[in-house]
Amino acid sequence: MIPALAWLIQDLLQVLATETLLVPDLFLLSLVAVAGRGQATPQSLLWGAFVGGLLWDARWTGLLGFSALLYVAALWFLLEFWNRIPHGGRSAPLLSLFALGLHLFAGLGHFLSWGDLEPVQRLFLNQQILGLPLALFAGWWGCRGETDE
Amino acid sequence: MSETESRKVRIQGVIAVILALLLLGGSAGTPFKAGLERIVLAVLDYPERPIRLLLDVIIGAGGWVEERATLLEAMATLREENLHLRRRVEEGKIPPLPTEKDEKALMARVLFRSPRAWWKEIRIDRGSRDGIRLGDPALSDGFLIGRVTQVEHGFSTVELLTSSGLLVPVVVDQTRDLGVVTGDEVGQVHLLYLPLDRRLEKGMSLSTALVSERVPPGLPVGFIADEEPDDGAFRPYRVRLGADLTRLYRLQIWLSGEDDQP
Repeated sequence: MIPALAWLIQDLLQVLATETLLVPDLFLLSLVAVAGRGQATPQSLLWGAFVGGLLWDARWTGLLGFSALLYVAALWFLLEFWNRIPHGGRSAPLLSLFALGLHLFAGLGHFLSWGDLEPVQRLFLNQQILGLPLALFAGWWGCRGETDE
Repeated sequence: MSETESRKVRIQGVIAVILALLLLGGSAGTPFKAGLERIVLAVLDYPERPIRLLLDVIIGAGGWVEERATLLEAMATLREENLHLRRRVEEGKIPPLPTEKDEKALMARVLFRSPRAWWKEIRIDRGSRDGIRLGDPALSDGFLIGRVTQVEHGFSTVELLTSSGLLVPVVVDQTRDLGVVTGDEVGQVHLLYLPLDRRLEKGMSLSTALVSERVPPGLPVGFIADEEPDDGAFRPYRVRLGADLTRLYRLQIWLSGEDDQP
């Protein structure tokens, strides 16, 4: 539910900011946070990432399967590593680091798909800068349960 | 996560990646892709519409607070341009634009521009419900950029001048030579069918000749950029479009209000 809402918010913000900036990847960050909290099964998160990516491609990129591939790869990577870490070692800074890295990975993937990179360099940098506090928030929120336990 | 669950994740991860790769490699130009895009756009139209309206309000408000000096300067330029155009119409150098009562320009926003058809077409947020019809011309910054080639209830597709499928008859304003403008799908536009003995100067302006009932003659298109190697039959010229297609977010659709087909 949260990733679906994040997807819609990201879409609406992108409509609002079409001419000025690339909105941070709220959908991916929400998936990272939900994965961190363990609120959904890994399989449902993977397929959620796939569907969300596919819809994003249908709406924005036109390269059907591209964002789906990026999101699935990012989430798969997270699930593989995060679930190997003992509960005691799972911390907000660590999840934030994952969120930051994966946000950079997905952003870089989209950035490189533009072809002519020079005009979109600034957009990419702005997206990553704006994504920084959101990634920190995703890490904190995703690990809240771990700290409370 | 147990080892069994971990294996399940890996298997499903591999399936999802393969599926994404298959879609990426094989969905271009398929009815599935076009259908999915159409459905997603149609569904998202409802939540996005208020945002687009808000954006229009914000942009409109920005216009209100624009400095008076800027507006006055723009008005002076337009007045001068208007006088110049009127003089050229009176001299018979360009035909007058039809001024039907129901003619109007409709503002539209670019909804979707596929990277695979970047220089071919764009989808806009206006459709038959707004009065758009097949063949209506699309303009940006006062210059022709393409024609409507597909109309749905709430959306339309505009084929750009950079598309190789669009051939637009034009006239060179300074020499009255007639030719055809077409694109090459990679961002360039060329003027074709000029006889070898005709020499055009860089910077000469092009405007539409009579294209169809829907595209009036005299719409500015662009300027001659440079001469290209001839193929023995005619001399092509590269055309610099008047509108900037790399920063195309909004455009105008010229509605004629007539019922005829293009």
